[in-house]
Amino acid sequence: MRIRATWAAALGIGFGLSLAPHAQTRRPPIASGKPKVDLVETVGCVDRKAGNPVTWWLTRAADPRITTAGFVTTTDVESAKSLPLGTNALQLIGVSDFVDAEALLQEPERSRFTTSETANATGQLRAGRKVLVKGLFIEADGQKRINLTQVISLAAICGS
Amino acid sequence: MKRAMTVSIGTLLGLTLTSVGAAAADKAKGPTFNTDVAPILFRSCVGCHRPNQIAPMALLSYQDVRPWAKAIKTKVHAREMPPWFADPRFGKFANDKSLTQADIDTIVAWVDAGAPQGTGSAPPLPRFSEAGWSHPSGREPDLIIELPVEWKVAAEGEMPNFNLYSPLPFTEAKLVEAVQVRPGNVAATHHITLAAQNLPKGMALGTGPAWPGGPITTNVQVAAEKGAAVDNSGDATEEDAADEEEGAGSSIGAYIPGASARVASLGVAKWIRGDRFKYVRWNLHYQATGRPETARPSIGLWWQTTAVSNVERGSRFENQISEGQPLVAPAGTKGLRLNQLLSPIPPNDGSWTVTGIAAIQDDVTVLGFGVHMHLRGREMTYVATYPDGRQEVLLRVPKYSFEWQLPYEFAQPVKLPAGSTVKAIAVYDNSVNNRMNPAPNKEVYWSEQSWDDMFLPSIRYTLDKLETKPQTSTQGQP
Repeated sequence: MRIRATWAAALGIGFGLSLAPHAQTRRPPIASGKPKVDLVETVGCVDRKAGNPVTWWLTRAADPRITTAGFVTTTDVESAKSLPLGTNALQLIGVSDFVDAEALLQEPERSRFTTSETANATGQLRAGRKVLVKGLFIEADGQKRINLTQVISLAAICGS
Repeated sequence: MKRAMTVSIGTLLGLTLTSVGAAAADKAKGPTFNTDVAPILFRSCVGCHRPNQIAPMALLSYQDVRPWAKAIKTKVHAREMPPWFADPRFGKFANDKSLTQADIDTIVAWVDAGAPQGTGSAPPLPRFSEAGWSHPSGREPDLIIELPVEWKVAAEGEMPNFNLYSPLPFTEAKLVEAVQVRPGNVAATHHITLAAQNLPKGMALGTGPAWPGGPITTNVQVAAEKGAAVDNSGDATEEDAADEEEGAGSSIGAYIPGASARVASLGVAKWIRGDRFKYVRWNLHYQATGRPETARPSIGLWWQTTAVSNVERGSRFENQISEGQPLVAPAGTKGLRLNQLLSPIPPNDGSWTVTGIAAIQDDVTVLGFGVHMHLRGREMTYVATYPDGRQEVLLRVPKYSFEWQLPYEFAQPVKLPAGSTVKAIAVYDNSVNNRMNPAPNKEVYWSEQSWDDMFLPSIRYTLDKLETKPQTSTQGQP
């Protein structure tokens, strides 16, 4: 190993205690504890409410469960199919990537850079479907929202 | 004495007036190097166009510049130089070296007029590191660590990523304000990532194959007792370049084409945990150039010398959507390997899309983004979705260049409240329209080899809850 210190260090400030006497040696702060917002998953029925803008909801949603994995597995999908619905109504935000391509292209900010060829929208979010959603659980102004990171369609009709 | 002073002042005044008069005359004739062009080049070009840098020629003086005047005009007029790829509609970036239209017009007019030097002298050059390091202040690094091995790259053939190790030369947790990795050989280096780590129990540094069947070298892991070499290839990845999830974690830095010193924002530093880790892991990826090459990379570290209020960290972008399909991991997956869920890009597909999403669970201040793809990478866009549902494009790189993988550092860091997401949306071009594409008729898989591709967005931020009152340093000590 060839180590070259700068001339200042080479002058021996610190007398060999360190090659870099100016270096800081405090212990790093640790980001411990519960995050401010939880990553959750839940199942429910997709509802689209007309308006300007259109809003998307997850109705009859089961109580959101905290999760740590940001991705969905086939096991998650299979178990979600048998999960009972609940009584929550959660507004869904960040929907652009989970509606269809046509709706994505109508979103003003996305239309600034997205073309029909590059619209990477899954179309999983359709009114009436039962879906598994994953995202950040936000409680603000008396309203519960999920900022979506994934949506998986479980059934075309949200029966039970 | 009084007379002498009077004469001197008179002479000085005369010279100044002459100079002002000459400059005014120059102005009337059109732009000159000394008055108009040098300030542009010194501000935006000489960071690379100087000795020991990646640019092929220096542009430090009129004599340097004059032979290249026409080429400079062509490059700046086409906005190929200085390289900058962010869409100007979105975000302002501190390291944006691009020229204004007025700058370009000045250079074009100067070349069209015969590239005159003008009278007087050019402005002073910015301060640079004598040894060719790229800290914006021109400071030399406080510590330089060189790879103990001069690596020989064969003229032909492929080689895997492999790891060499050297002792980390300090035993404390140290804050750095900047890290630069110099490849030692630009042409033969695909990438280098560096991390601080410990060797597995029972292992030691020794001599053995760099990878199974590879050349014998020092500085590989061997069994401490018997001296038998072990497989140490490829377990560190390009992902290390961006993935510093722990903030106080093990990543030291990376070399990717086009990168210079990565400088932390004012008051924000990065930890290197000498108190936890004993070795530097050099994850090396070389490529044949058609002739034998050697490379000895080095790391420059600049200690944090100003007051520190926070440390930077990064987050993973989970790969969630590709070509309109949600990505679902196989049963039992505990953690995803890089790009594990992505399907190959079909032959001749000109717009293959991938979206990754980072979930922001605490209030953060975003310092900047990185973009890493390989030869089919065409564009990448970062979009924030705030907790109120509002969306905002934070960065768009519409014409990605594998040769210029620049960091994008915000001029004013961006606050993202907890509950936000950041989406990285990438488009790949595997068609003949992509001039970088080596094989449009082939499927493209995902790996760290440059004939495959990668989806590796990266974000650098600080956690606001860890923000402290800036602590004054005395010789760098908080």
